Amino acid sequence: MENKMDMVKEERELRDDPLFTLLRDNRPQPPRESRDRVRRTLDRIETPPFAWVGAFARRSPLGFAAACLLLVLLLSGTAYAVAGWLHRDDYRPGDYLDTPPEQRTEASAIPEIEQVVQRADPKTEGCEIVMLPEMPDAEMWNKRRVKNGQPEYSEADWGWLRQLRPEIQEVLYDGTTFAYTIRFHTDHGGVLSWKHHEEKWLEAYVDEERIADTGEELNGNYGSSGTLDETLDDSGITFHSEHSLEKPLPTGGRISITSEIGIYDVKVDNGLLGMLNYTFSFDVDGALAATHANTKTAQRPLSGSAVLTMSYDTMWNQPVNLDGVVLEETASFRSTGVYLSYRVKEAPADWTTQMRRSLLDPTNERGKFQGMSVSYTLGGDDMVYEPSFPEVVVQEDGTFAYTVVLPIFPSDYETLKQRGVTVRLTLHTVDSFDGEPVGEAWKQTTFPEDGWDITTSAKPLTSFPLDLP
Amino acid sequence: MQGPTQPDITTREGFAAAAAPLERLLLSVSYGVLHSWDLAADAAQSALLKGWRYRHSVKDAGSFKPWLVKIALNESKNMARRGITVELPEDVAEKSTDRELRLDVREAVYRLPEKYRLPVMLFYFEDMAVADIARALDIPAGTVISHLHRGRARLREELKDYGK
Repeated sequence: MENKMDMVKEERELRDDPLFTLLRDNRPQPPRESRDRVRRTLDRIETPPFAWVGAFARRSPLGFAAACLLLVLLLSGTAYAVAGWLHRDDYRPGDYLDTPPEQRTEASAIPEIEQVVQRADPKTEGCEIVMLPEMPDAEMWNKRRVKNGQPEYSEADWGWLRQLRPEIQEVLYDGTTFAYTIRFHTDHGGVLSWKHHEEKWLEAYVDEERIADTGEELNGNYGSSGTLDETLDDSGITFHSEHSLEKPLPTGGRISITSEIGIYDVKVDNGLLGMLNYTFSFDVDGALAATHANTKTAQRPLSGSAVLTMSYDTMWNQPVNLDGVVLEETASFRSTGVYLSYRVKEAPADWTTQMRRSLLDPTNERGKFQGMSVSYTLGGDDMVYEPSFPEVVVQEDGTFAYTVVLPIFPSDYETLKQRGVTVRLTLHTVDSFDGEPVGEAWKQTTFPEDGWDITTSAKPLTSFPLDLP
Repeated sequence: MQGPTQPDITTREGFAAAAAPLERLLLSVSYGVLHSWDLAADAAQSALLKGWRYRHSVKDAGSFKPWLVKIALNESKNMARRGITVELPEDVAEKSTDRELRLDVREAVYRLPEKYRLPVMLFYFEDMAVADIARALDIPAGTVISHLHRGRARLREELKDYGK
């Protein structure tokens, strides 16, 4: 029935309904404070200064080699072994899969991560592709094609997509990071890239991902968004997908992952051509066994006074007494790095939820935002590779958990134990707003429509040796 | 792939330019799940940060809006699953005579079952196209139309005192 439905006509009728006007005129208006908070978030995003190195490296083997050389030059005289694949800023374990296995040399491979990848042992389980003619709303999609000046879907133009042969290449799973690469084999490699000026253009991306075991959905939503980059060559295209999971995947052997991948004609705005359901399995227990997870907890008491920058409905500085504030640290020593997680375990009675949360606002050593950063020194030398940018999640009990990953691997432990790893926690407080110095009593209730700049000052909170296993 | 006038969302400036007009939309859809503007702002902020992090998975500007709405909905639903929500819409609880119509309309929408509520909110409150709603909610466009019809029928019943 839906096949014959005229979607455009239906949509127009729904909009012509007087109910539309009634609802539209009475729609809710978000309060100004909420809109300001969302707007401020856009000022919190940043492009890491060395991100282009990674992007360049992913685009071509020559770029990869040049980026490695550049990194070596940049980091000459560094404190510990340089792994060619590491980005200097914003470390993410999943970046490891961005370097094709054949380009991982003795100098650039991390043996422990290789083990995690090997033990995952992924296998293709099945693939089903549904092209436009088989979709219930094909007529609507075809009208969209025509509206954009393109011919309707035809098998002559697009039938070759039915022959796409996806194949899982590698999986990296350490309990939190879940990254994988899928190779799409095709005889039409040239038209798979949006960069190629061919008659047919195509792009594909992971649209939705669900976790399934024997066909039944488990554990609900794992988040449908992930990074996805592509590497193109003459015989196909490789996709790199990375997810940071808020809860671990179910254990118990192999599980199946189904990626639902939309295939789009890039000449048409939202020009769906087909949906591809690709299922692969991998050995969760094997991957986790290879991560050598070793967890330690510690209490990190804070003391003295500090100025917290609060950023909720407005922004303001608030002097606070840190005596009695205790952070609980959970250090998980994995093959993919050291995951450090912090939560406020104890605080004086006058500490509000907002204060606890503001203390754990995520920022890094560059201190572009207010909040806490984590850094480390090796034998007194400053870090060379930054930890990941912190993630803060609300946990089941409503508390906030702040997590960073240090790029320190088990094979470094013995060397680093001798030199000593010291972790530093630093608080960053706003000290100027749009060029105007602010003080401890600063409060900002109005914000320029076109954005604003802040600078922060740093105050050491505490430092302590990292007790490597 | 992208037209010359469309922002390149892989850059900070481009992402901000593409996301800034969606501020209200993200808040509104999150509010539809969480019934609190404070929580909705949390969800919308989180969605923007996730969107920025995963921006490379969007390859054309036309997909950006439903993709970001989908993330905001997922964030809101995740918060709701953790029990981070409130019983009633705040403004409905503050009902007053002056705002009776406005609040009745909103209350009627928020009382709809979720499968009707989200398409109705996105279509009627936020003026999103059916195709974009379909992508944001991961359901076929025909199903969106069907839910809009059913949601509209329920709203007519709820709002019959207003002669609609």
